[in-house]
Amino acid sequence: MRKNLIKKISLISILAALAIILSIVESFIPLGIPGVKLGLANVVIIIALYIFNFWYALGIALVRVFVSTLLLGTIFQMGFFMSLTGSILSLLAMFLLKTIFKKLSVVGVSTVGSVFHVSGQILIAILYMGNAMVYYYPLILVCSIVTGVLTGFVSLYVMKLKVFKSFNSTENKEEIQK
Amino acid sequence: MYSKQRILMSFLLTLFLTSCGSSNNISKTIYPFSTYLTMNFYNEGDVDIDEITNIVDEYDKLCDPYNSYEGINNLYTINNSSDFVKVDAKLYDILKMGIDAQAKTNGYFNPLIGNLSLTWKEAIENKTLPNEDVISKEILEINNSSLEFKDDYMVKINGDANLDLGGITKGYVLSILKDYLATKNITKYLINGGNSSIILGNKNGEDFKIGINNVGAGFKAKETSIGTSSVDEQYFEVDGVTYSHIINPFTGSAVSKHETVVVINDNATLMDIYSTVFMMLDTEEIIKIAEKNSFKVIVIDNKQITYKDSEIELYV
Amino acid sequence: MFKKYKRDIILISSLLIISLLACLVYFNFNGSSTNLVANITDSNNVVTQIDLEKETDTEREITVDGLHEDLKVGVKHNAIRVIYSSCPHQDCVKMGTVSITNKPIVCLYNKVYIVLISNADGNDINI
Repeated sequence: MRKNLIKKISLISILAALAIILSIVESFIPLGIPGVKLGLANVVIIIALYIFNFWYALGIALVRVFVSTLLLGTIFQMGFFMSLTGSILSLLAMFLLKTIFKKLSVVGVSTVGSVFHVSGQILIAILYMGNAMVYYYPLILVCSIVTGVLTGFVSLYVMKLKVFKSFNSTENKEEIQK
Repeated sequence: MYSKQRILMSFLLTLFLTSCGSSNNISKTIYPFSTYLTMNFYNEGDVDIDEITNIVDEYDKLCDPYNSYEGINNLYTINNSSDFVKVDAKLYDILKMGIDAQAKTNGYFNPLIGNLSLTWKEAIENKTLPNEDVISKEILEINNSSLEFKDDYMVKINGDANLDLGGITKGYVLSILKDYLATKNITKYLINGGNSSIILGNKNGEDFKIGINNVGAGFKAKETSIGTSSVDEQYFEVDGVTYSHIINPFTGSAVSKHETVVVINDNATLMDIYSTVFMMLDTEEIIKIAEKNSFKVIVIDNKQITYKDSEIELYV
Repeated sequence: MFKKYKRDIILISSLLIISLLACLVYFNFNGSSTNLVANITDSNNVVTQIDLEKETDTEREITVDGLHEDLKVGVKHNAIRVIYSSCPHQDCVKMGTVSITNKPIVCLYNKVYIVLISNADGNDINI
């Protein structure tokens, strides 16, 4: 039991650190459209959501937003609020979708999460800067669907790794085995 | 079952795609006569923009007083020659029209204003007043020069003055385009030459809305041409006096009597000429000439409309 | 294998189709390129309006108040672009010259955006 707990804490910490690192790395990759990022850190969040539960995932998401913006020097600026809103909305959407539509795979959930993430970001951008960003929304939406699918597949295969084996609840185990 | 949904979706998509593009407005901007020329055509299926561009291009080269082009005798050629130069019939025609305009405007339009224009152009660029002596010398040159024509499209400048057709070229070329478009049955257009010479067809049958800067008002018009002259186009200020690119050929002064003058009539060439000339005349004079020639005029001084023809209705 | 992903495929395809349609709407309609007016909103939320129709063919540089650093914007006849901005990704500069309506240039970092509108419901020309 104790060994399990230590393993759990270590794993969660590593995931959180990974989310932060990925967040920082992807901030250096420009995509030509303002505010669009690859969403690499979302793989971590999804894994946390499936392997553990909503609350741990939320914890990791919040830690990621706060620490990465702190390290990048952009905390409490617009990018921070965009990220925060996007992360929370996306997590809520994924959790609800996953709970209600149990037959949906990680890929579908991840895509919806991605869509909600960018929607949350655009919402803040519009509140902050006016309607100019609305023009970019359709394009960003398409991009988010593509990255969402990719993130979903990556998450799917990462979750099959042995390191997560002992944490799979029977419910999650079925989904991950798919 | 969901493949049927998929087919429906794709069908809707293609329907959507094909329904786009129902309005066919073409627009092109070219840059002749040291300014821009924007052509707008509204739902006119068959416009040969290239042909129109070529027509304008040809006049651009012919009327260029500053550059020479291989194989073409243009304004630059005439300015730099002390003998008769044989020119294209088109240029010959404009020059003849320029001389007519000079007579008609009692000398306020003068095609030999080249050197004086250039002096003031440089003054505007450097924002410094030119030397009084230079101006006097140039006026003397103008008075002692003349344009001579000979059979077979031969033109010669007698004297030291140089040609500058800036006050007539845009209007003239737009007149040509107006006739060209009429022969091609193109009626829904607006062609704007540097914001100072404009020819209008109609906008899908409707009037165009012409806004007047600085005044916060506008008027509607269609199937006519408009000439405007404004000190706002190119100017500089010294001691509270505004000097612009509109030069009085008698006094050499670059100070206009008005801020902006708008002239409306079907003849684009005349509009170009008179919009410039009116800037040098008092409002009473303007009204007289306008009545005689059936022009509609708007005179603006100090950002206010001081005179407008009764037939022009303004909106805010 | 695809049978297991049936619901996902429906979900993702619907999302994709909706957003592609939205893309088409934005990219096909509302594309005027004449008689343009640029509305530049700077970091102080002050909107500067520039009549691009009246500009000459030579580019003129203007300064716009940015949140972190001022931007240099180039205007010419019916065209505008961001020449210099201090933002890390340079998205706004990479957009290049814009001469069509409804294709805004946005600099999130410096909180500046430029929107072009056509004077269509205004005047056809301004003299």
